[in-house]
Amino acid sequence: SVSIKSHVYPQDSIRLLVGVEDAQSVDYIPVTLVVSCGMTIAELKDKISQDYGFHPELQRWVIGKRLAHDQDTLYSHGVRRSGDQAFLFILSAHAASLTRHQQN
Amino acid sequence: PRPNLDQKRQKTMREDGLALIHRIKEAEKRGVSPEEVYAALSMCGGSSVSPCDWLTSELPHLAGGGGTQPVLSRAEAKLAWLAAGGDKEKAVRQLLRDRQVKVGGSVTDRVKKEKFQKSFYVTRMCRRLLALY
Repeated sequence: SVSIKSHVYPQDSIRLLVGVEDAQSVDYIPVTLVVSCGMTIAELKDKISQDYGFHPELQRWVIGKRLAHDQDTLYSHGVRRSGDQAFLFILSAHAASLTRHQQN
Repeated sequence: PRPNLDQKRQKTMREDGLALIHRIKEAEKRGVSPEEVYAALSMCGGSSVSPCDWLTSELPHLAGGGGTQPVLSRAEAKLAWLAAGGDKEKAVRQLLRDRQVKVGGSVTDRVKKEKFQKSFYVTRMCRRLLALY
């Protein structure tokens, strides 16, 4: 598979708007993250895990029409500049364990 | 910079994302994982049809059809027909067989190949969708 070196992407920091939801939320909780477009979803998950305590396995990232994969970059999902909006869904622990079971 | 185009791009990104995350939220309440609902959306081929409604809306097309153009491909019609007959395992096997045989048809148009590389995943996906009914 093809991988693109990170120096190809704009390295400047942007403010990514993130709407955080779970099954119980009525509306999304707005959060702003300082990221670079070359960051991967896996790196984003780690950042959220460190800053907010949600385990990476519970995180599902939605950008535009797509459910993002760990190895994808923000850039590959169309993220370009401050004010772009992504969404983060936090699985319930029960749902997460069911998903893990299905993948085995 | 072209502010109007960029605003439009950001608005579309936000609206598309909101629509998808709401589907994911509703799906979790029904015990369907984000990956499953996302795959189902790919199969439905459009954001206007909810994956959970897809099967219920398409099944009636099989009952005689009348003069209307069938919405389903042949393989999908078989799947739904067999599912209506209660034989889900047979329906899934038939769908996979038909998908392998068909080249460039509407099944492969709708089903994004990169999401269905593993046929076992398709099997499970179809089972889960059918199990909703």
